[in-house]
Amino acid sequence: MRRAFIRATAALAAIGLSARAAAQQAPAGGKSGKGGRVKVVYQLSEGIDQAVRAMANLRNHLNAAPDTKIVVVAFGYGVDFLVEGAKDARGNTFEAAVGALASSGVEFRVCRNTLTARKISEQSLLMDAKIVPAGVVEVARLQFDEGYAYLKP
Amino acid sequence: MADPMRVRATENGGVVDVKILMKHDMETGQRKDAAGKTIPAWHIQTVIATYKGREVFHAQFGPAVSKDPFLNFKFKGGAKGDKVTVTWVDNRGDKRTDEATIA
Repeated sequence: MRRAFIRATAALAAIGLSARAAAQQAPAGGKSGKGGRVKVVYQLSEGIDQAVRAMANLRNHLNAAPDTKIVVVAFGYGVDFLVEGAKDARGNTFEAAVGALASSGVEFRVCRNTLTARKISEQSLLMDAKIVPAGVVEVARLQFDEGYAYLKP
Repeated sequence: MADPMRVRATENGGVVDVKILMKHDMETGQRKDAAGKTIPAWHIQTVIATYKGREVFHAQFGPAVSKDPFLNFKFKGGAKGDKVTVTWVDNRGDKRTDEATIA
């Protein structure tokens, strides 16, 4: 009687172990399709108000998931907040916020087509901004080739 | 090799405005990691900017300087098209040199 009980518990424990092993293998198997690190591209193309929202979103995103690789792609009116001296509705500049985010690993990529079309010089952008040939192409490429999730705040 | 820094130099009325954004963790040696072990100090100690082989800026950085330091200075006598070279050395002896063309 007692032996049977022990056997039963041993069998249950074995099921539990194998279930756990399977659970651990599942994400490892899924990793082949996508990298282990979550990657997100933020599209900013609507001007200062969107940029203010995005700054808060980005901070919250990194607070909740510090390992996330985030790339911000700015084009159209979304470039405005990366121009030196740009201010939000309350009169605060973006330099400190952008600098802090860049230090924690966020990349800011600016569309060259926008700069040309809107006659914004590269010299007038914040130092943290990098330039890419085309914003839309960059957003598409990051999603298609590099498995980035897409967010538009 | 350390990450590149961004250097931007603009000339206006004979005065060159140089902006440098260095990429460095600037560990103070005061912080502790999750296990409670002290993270050793690792920060930039010297920053030197030269124009045509002549030193136009020299700074000594300590642990009080922030992560990814930003530096802005001006010097007289530069001309458009010339290069400004910036070098930093940290307390582990790591170095990084970058240059920018004055615009």
